[in-house]
Amino acid sequence: MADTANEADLEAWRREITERTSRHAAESACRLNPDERIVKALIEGLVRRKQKSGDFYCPCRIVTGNPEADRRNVCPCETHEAEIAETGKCHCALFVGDKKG
Amino acid sequence: MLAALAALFLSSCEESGKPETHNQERRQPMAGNVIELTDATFEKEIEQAKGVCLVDFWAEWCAPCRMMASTVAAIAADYAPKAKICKLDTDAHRDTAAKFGITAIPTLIIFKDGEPVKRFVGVTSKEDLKAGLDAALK
Repeated sequence: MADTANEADLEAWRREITERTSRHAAESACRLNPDERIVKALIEGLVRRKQKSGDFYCPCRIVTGNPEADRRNVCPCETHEAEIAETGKCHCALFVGDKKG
Repeated sequence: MLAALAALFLSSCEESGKPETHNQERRQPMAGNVIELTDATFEKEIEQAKGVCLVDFWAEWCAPCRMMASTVAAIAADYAPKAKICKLDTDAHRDTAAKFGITAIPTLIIFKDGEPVKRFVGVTSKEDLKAGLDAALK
């Protein structure tokens, strides 16, 4: 289980989620939070979610144990674009963008 | 906003990059007057309590939750003991989080005589929390 991960696993997950989030920012209208310290902290939170719960669930969302519900919160989560449109940032502030309206 | 968020977050992080835990010994009262709750203690401390309580639902690796820690501590300094200020780690104590329909964190709930009366989701200003507590204390 992911909870028995060693440092090599953690490092591999860091690379994986860093690449995924960077690619998403490059390919979408949103961008990564310009504050690298916040991004680093949230990346670590995503890695810890992977370790404890099996996937890159948003560190600011509850992992319920219901796979269908939790899948929506795998980063980048399903609601991030709507959140950015409303507030300029997704809930955890990993992604930012322009408010709409 | 983002700069303020960064500053508050970093002020609560150790240099190693690992967020300092809200409480090294989770079963002890936190710094100041913030009480650490568990699934086992929540009912007695909050739902069966008279008066006003504020509960901060948080998790260790949630950056916005780290920001709220200093705000909640400041609230506790101002309001304890006329209001009970508490925290609950939602990773360690999922039953209580599920009971109150919490899906996003930080979530802060004000309780009055055991019933939730006000809910805040996300980073919340000290002023908004104080306004909510003042209204509940009337």
